Amino acid sequence: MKKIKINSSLCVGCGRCEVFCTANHSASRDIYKAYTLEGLRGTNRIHLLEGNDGYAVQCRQCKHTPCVFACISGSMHVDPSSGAVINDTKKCVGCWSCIAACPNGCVFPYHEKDGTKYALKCDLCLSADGEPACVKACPNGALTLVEV
Amino acid sequence: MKVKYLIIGSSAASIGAINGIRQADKSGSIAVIGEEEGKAYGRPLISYYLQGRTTKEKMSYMDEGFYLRNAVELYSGVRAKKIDVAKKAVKTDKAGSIGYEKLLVATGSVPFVPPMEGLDGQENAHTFMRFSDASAIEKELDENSRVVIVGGGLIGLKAAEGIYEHTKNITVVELAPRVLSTVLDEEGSEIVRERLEKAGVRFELGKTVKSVVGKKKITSVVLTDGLELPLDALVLAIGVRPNTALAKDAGIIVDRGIKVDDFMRTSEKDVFAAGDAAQGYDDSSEQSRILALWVNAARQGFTAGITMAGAQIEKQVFLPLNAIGLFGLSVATAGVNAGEKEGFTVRTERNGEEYRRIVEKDGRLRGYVLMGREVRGAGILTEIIYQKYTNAELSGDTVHSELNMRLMPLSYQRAALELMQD
Repeated sequence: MKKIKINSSLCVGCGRCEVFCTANHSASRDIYKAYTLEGLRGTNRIHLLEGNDGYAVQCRQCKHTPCVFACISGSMHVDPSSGAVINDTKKCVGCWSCIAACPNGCVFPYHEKDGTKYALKCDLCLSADGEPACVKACPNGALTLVEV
Repeated sequence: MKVKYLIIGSSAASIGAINGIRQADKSGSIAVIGEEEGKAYGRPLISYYLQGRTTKEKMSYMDEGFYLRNAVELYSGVRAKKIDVAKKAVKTDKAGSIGYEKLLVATGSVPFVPPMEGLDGQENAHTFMRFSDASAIEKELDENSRVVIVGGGLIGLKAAEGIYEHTKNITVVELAPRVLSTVLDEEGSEIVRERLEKAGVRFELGKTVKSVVGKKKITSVVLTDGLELPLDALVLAIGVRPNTALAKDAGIIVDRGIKVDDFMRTSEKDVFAAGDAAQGYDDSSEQSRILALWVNAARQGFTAGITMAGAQIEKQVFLPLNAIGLFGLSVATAGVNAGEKEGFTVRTERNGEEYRRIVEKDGRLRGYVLMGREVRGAGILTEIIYQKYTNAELSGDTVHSELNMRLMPLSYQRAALELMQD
């Protein structure tokens, strides 16, 4: 399956990956509309960890899937066709069991304005065009999509 | 009728086992005997169902095609009556006798109901474990209903949260002096209680129900201190006990739960056990004990499945792990819940309802309580316990640092980033 490899020494901390991640998971798939009209600030699934040698990181797609085992609703699942771990946000109840299980801190809590809660994580952009937006947006080659 | 793999039970451990078996054996026949009607569903979701945060349809644990894709024969609404280990067959009430090559006993747990004077045959007394319990409670409640919940643990407080959407008139009776005493320390417990009290939930701590009043329908309960609480519905959420009768009758060794080794093998050849009924090893307390939690049932089931199919899996680490949302307050806990009295070092940080409690021994993390901020990054602490990292190996401090990957040892970070973890 495909996974995203990170070369932390190449990360310049620009945060473009966060912005393009947010946009690619929006209805419009447009930066301006996603942030300004859809109000999706904070829905990025990749996060820049600050510091001198900081880097951006998203779900590592671990083979032992602790988040899937922890999930009480079955929303967190291994997609049978791609092998990627994906959260079905419509089924998710926002109990945060996956957050307590994720060994890499890469599952995030999200509240919609109406109070609906669900967990957000990287889906390798399978919900969009299947080409991870963060990888395309990275200006310095820190993120690469590899077959493992 | 005979199958290669037979599973008694149809919840987390059962599904975990199916996934494990199919990872190693794509074609061996699998049958599942499930007492409840229908496919596996997320049992812990029943409180979310009462709250209106999920629906019966969405509660289905696996996707629509799961059973077909994995060629699983599901006997739902069927009860296993007897395990015959000599004949390698399980007698059922409606599906005859089913032979097996490998058997998984995933019979789960049953609600514990202590003896209470006058409780037998009461219509408005409920346990809180299955969908049918939530559905019966839902039918009984209106906004004026008075509800008494016996048990201030995980089940009782989640029941309170679900019921709160229907009526605000809730009293929780708990024998321990504090709520969630199995997973929380005193301070953490107080934060939770205060949050619920602010919402209007009342507590009677350090007491339990002595007797119930009313015929066919309970009208009130009398507590051990003599206090009488009038009610319209009683919820018994004291706890669970392992459902081990079938295994015991079959001569399989049962301590508190069905004794299993690291690979879920019981004392009987070709018989495995997983989930709430099984007593495995808790790596955090270094004791053999039952970990009646969804995540462990799923992982134990998977471990059993791989082993049943004759494949190898490395020894898995199991420990208590909970994530609990209560009235908008998020709580995560893992590992040991102990303090200085038990020989641990405790460090805490608190800012209002944001609370972090770190339990250590010999300079490494053994357990934690994390509250607030939607428990962001809690899994980092869980992983530190799993990996047995000492504080000196970490790149930050477990009490003060942001909970993200940068807290981990550099070697861990590098392996994770460069996909060398698996």
